[in-house]
Amino acid sequence: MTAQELAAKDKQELKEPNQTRPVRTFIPDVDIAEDDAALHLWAEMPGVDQSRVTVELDDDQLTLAGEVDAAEYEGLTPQYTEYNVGRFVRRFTLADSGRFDRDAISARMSNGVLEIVLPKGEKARPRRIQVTG
Amino acid sequence: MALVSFRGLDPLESLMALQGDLDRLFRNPLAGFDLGPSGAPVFPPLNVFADKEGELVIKAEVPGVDPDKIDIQLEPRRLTLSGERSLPETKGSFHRRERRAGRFARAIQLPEDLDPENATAEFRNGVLTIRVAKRAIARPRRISIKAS
Repeated sequence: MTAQELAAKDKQELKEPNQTRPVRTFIPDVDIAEDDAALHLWAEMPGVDQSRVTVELDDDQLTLAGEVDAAEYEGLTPQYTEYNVGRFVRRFTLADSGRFDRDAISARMSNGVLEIVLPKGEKARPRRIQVTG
Repeated sequence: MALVSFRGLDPLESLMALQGDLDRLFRNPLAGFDLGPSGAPVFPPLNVFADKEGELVIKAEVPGVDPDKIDIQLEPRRLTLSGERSLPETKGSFHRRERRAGRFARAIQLPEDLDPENATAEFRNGVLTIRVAKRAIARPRRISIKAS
């Protein structure tokens, strides 16, 4: 298998016209996968420390947010830039949210990537039914 | 050029001030960097800063990359970053796939003569920070005038 070259793209920005304080907010790239046991989500938020990430599950709305700490840039003078930093926000509506065990949701930050695991409730897991004859 | 300083600003104001500064220096043509093909974004995106001591501080966003898989080569006027990003395996099926995997390699010509012996690299929260001092000879020296 040939290794492909990793192409870059600029951060997508969230345009919210009616903010009281105009902080630039970006949309993190996300992968979502589902297997028999759980829903997995990975969101890229480079530069965001674990302490500045929030994950909220409200009814069927999953909201991820993270913020970079400007204090890390204290004393640095920009000379040349290609990317900006700030907040990340993304919201998802979970389809058929009743099948998840919300209390068992877990979230973890690793190398700037937020990984969320939302296990399915017992009822939702596929079960093999024995056919007797 | 004013140093970025957040004294007296609240965290939100600090962040907005930082964003303004980063915006103003976006692809600054006066910086004297040769970064290869212009126009298309290249991975990883880089920000270059000077710190209070005049050291060069280069930040690169490489989220999800294993630091063991990043190779940094530093010559007096050139920095080369290369590596590979792989995404986690999963048994299930994807509903959405926006993240990308693959190899990357990027060379950047730097304007100053740098001291590669005294460079450090740190990896935190998916951001690589490389600090390089300038070569001693390249630093400005004060020449005193002898009174005749």
